[in-house]
Amino acid sequence: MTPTGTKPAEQAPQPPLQGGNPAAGGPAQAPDKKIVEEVHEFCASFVRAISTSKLYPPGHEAIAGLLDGVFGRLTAFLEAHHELELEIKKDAFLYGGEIVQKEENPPRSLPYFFYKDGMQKLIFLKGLPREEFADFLDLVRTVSLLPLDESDIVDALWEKDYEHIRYISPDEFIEAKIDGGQDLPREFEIDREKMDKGRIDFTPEDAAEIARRSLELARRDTAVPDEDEGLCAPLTEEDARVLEETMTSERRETADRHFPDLMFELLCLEERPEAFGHILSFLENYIPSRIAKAEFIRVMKLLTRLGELLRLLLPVSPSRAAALENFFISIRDHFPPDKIKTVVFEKQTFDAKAFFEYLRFVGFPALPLGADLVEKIGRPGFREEAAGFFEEMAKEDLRRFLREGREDRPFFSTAAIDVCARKPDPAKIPFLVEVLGWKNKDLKLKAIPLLGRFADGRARSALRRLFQDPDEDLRIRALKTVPVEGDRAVLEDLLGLASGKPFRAKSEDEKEAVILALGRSRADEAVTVLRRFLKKRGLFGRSRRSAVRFLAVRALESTATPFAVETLNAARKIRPKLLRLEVEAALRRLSSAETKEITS
Amino acid sequence: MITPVEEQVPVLGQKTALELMTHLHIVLKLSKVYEPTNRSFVERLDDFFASLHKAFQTDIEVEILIRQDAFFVNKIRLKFNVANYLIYKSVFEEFLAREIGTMTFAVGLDKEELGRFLHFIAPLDVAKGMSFERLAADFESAGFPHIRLKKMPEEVRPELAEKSAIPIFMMGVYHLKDLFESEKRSQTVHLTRRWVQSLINHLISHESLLIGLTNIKNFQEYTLNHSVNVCILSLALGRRLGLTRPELIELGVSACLHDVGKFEISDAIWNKPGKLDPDERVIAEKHSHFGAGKLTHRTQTEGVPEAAIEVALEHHIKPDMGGYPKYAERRRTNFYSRIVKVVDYYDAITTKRIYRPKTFTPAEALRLMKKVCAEEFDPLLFRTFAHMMGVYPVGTLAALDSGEVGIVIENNPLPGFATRPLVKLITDREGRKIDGPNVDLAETDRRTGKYLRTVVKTLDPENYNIQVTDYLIARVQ
Repeated sequence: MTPTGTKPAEQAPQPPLQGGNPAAGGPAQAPDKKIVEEVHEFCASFVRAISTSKLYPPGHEAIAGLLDGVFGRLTAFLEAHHELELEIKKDAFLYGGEIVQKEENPPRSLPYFFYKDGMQKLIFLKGLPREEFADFLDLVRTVSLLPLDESDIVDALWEKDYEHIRYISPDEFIEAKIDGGQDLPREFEIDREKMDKGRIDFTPEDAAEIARRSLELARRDTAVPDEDEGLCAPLTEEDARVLEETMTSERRETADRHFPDLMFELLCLEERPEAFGHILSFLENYIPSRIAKAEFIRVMKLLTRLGELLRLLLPVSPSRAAALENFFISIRDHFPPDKIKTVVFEKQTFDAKAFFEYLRFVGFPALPLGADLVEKIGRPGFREEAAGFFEEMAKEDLRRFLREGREDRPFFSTAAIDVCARKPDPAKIPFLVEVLGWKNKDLKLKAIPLLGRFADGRARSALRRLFQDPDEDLRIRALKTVPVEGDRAVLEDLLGLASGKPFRAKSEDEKEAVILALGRSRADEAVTVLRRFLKKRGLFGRSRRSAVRFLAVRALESTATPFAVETLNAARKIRPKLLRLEVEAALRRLSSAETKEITS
Repeated sequence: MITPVEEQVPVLGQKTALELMTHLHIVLKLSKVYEPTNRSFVERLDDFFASLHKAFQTDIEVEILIRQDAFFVNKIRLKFNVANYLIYKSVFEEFLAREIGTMTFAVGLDKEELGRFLHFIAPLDVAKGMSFERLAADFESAGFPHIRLKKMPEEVRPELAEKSAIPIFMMGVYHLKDLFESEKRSQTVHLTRRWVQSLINHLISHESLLIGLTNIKNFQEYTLNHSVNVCILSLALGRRLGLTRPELIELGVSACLHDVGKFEISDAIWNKPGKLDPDERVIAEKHSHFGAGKLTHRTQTEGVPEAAIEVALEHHIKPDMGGYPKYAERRRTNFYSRIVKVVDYYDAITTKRIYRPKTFTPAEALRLMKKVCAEEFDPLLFRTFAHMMGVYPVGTLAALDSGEVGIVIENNPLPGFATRPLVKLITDREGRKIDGPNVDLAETDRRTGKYLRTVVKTLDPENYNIQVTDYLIARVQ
């Protein structure tokens, strides 16, 4: 975007020379009372803005309002007077020697805040843009929130280097803080007499060389020795470009990568056990401090590099390797789940991959935290990384992993159920059974088919309980899943479900589930019931009865016992025709299946 | 006052402002050595006038303003980097030398007035006894209706800045004693930052003086003095490269601490006259990683920058990763480490040490460093450093073809003028010591066009019992 400005009108000719600089040092004589009053009002609003802004988080609309007020006053003043120079005293701001803001409690006041760091003058210049002033206010606010002995507004302002906000802070301030600074000699001792008296007579070698080069100079108008040619040639444009590129690339190189590599190298070099231990104890404090800032990438890079170091040291330096192993144990032992929870919620932009790598490093102590966080943080990438972490924990110790499954952790529990789906393992049964006791229907629906794979009394009992569940979906799923063959108890349940008015009251889907379950049982009693369904006729509810009859055919076919075949054969002449055709088709399929079985 | 109808037009941009400054820089330099009718001068004057004229398309005047360490052209603050640093520095010093805070050119200015003005202002220099008030009087009578000058604000007057450079240097040496001792108050590093900031402020206005002060060696204690010198030279180089302020602080603090590991090693090693044997060498070389190890804790407890660990560890590592210590895997050193390597080498070989048979003069040091550059240094960093120091670095004792002897007090940054520094004469043509004037070796005889003086040989001050720093300090004390 091209900056734009205004083409100013022709101005009256200015005097050619201005010996003083009235704008720079304040007016020579006492300022106008009206101007002093304007400055006073600005200072009052400035002080108010800073103290009020500390009560709100950055970016709050109340701060914007304050900024408008104080900036408006300042801009109006600068338009008229070009510059506002405030003198800083311990307890007051002055303008042109006049007090414009006095504070009763200096240590807590804004003038003192500037004064304590050696600032003597604060100057605002015309042209100050709103953004720069807002940034300045924010800087003052931020620095003033630090403890007095840790804050330094002059340091902060120096780094910022504002274009339109300047300050004066003389070096004497630093001198006073240096140990022995008050005794610092102000001057070096020099021997002036020696400098101005006597002679310099050249050594024979120098004299000869001087003579030779003087002749050369006279001859070719240069005395520059060949070795100095090009010694201090300026950089070419290409050189400058390469340097710029180097610096740009250096700036891109992040501390996240740099620092871990550095620690690796330093620890490789440090052979003294005590010093090696000191560096490790530094890192023991360093890592939590980085975690407190959600710098998981750096933490993990560091731990990874130290892991590599451990492998290098094991064969060559057992004592250092042992110290490093203890270090890793200490990091794991001092895992702070509560602090991490806090920092993760505060810093929404941390790297999820690195975060879960860190949790992996810590191991099972970190699993509850991971399980909790994944419920609350739904941003893209986080849950994907979490799933990977959970997989690995499950592989390591399935029982311990499943213990973290809880009703209030639906995401984790879903992942846990998915793990259970992979390989049948009786260790999974207690968890799956527990799930069936929860309220979460989706989780139950997921868990039911998995329980159906187990020929285990606990699984069967849990599924049987579902036959009476108030939720039809759960009842149907359980009926479809439960292994029936050879299980008397299940068969009894099914026979009960298939009889009388309760059966008639069921939905078509549920009836289907019951009837097909009977078929899976392969029991003669079930076939008897199925035969009864097949024969059902009557004047009312024809379509319903018809559906049941067709289902009975399917069930008998799936039973495939001699009794079932016999029952189907007896129904060859059944009406209606469609049903008869279905019976015949079922018999054909059964016959063909039998032939295949014999021939195979 | 804003007129009711405002025409939105492009204003002077950064690029145009920089072009203007470049031309001003050149004509200011040339006006000191060439007559107004000289062809080179006239051509450059045309360029400057053309750039002013271009600026007049958008503004009715061009105002160049110094505010402490910053330059503004029509309210645009100029940003500089390694490519244009010299221009910035040169014009800055020209303004400082005349106590000019603002220079304004107005529409209606013609080439004649501009050329006259440049030749009027060229010989004027506060250091030569010219005050702004006297300049003002002469300016009035000379008559420049389309040019205005304003005096520089009190707080950036050159002599004040120069005077305080000496205590700043000494402060640094005293302060580093505190800094090097660990388990110190956490305020110590904080104070170091403030001290480094102050150094940088002084570098802005008096780079040559501060660099000249690095000729002071063994003040109080070698390692402390050396660390201050390395800090100053690193900052000067870093500034020239265009490092940002936060980066300069990191570099400065790191440079201060680069040799902190030396205190972990017995003085018997450092003070041994003659060469170290292989075992002693091994011990001495450990100071790098000893220092780095010491600094790790201090990054947490005292705010020492992490870069300081690297600089302490790497400042003796060569570009091919030779030198010491030997890294297990790393294939590159930190940028600050490479800066400190150059300046550390320079300061070390120009310092008399009991174990070194020869101490190099500044000029000899640069020649040696050029020879070993490919093996020892980042080549571009060395070249930038060499250009900064000049063929004859500040503090060089030089024999002139006039028979006089002088001490270099300032380099000439103009291309082609590297061998024409500013020199303080310390003898007359017969060799008698005098408190002589400062002479510009770029000055020519106006009649013949030949240079009035030329360096024919650099001398070793040791051979003549000369303390060059006495002369540099005497200028400002």
